[in-house]
Amino acid sequence: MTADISRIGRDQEALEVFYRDHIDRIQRFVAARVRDPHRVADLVADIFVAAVESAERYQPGRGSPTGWLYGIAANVVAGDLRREQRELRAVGRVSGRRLLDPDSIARIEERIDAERAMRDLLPGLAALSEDDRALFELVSLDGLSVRDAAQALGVKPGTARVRLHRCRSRVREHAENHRSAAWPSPAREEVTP
Amino acid sequence: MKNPTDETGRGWSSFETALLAELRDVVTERAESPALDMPKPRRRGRAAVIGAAAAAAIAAVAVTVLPASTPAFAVDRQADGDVVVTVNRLDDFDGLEEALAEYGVTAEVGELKLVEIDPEDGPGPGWMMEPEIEVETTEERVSEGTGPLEELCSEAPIEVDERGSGHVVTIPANAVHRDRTLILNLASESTVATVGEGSARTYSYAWADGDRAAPCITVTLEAPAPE
Repeated sequence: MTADISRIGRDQEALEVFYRDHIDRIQRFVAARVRDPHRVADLVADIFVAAVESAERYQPGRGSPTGWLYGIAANVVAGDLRREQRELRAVGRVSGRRLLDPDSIARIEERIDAERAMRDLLPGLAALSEDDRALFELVSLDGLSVRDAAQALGVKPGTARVRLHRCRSRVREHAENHRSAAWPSPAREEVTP
Repeated sequence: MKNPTDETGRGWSSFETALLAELRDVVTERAESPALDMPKPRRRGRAAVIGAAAAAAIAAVAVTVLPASTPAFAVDRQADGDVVVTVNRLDDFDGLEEALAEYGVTAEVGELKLVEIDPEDGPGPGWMMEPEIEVETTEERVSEGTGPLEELCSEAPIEVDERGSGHVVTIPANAVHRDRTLILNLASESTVATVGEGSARTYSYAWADGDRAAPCITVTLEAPAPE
């Protein structure tokens, strides 16, 4: 069953279908980028609230629900990082951290650890510009299709493919220059499908 | 709720369950709010103002560059099967992409723009063309490789005639294929004027197929910041 996105802002059942479809991957997305479980909880809540509040503006012809939601997620996380730099934490409509109990914190910490291990396989990420890294991570770490990743970042799919070509070249070049145990061969195959 | 599970097969954590309950409350609150279906006058007004300003700017450029009756682009097929695109103005990429599709060319057309170089990303300060494709190269480059897309770059190159106010793009008949995408970026006349005519390529292109892409002609102009 697929959620009708246009209805999730006012229909609880549509919201629940949408939430079930996406809660795992959105937690994984945030856990790959933020290391504090309380902030992960806040941001996951912020992302779903933003989705609920902008659902009426979703246009099916412009991409999949997944690409649309990852676009929201990318904006929310980027906004939080900017706020963190200014040391001004906005108060969200739903406070995710208020909902945490010790078991939930442990579960989020497991996700953070799992995503950190995956990121450590890709040391060449630091060689990429911020925009390229965001695209590369969506495809290589989050498993989005190129089309969905392009939609999430607001670029055309063909442009995204060209940028991925550049990213893979740079990550590969970085690996060649820093060949060591930090780059086991199976991971390299993942980078260049 | 029927025993929701996470990706590992475990049941939801109390956080995941509690968050859904909170979101359901938000949705209920929104559904009961009479303001939900009201138009957002400030946003619409702002968009209208921006739209009018942008339209005026486009109109001003069009009037100074070309007669108003000149179309933004034209697409034609020659007797030998080559598809010829004349781009007079960069203001209707969606229309151009649709017109190219009618001639069997799947394309994504964009604009080459000048962007400021982040000192952390390049030798700056200065400006360069975006979207650039291979920052390592300093000149145009024909992609080298053995894949079909790379072969297309060298065996069926696209010709681009750079004219004062536009471009004439000739796509060879043997390069036309619906299953691959032509990524074409063109610089506007004002961009070329800013960096100086003849000092930079005013276009770049690449072919993409599935998740693969091959840059054919790339542009990595670096120039002093405009006055």
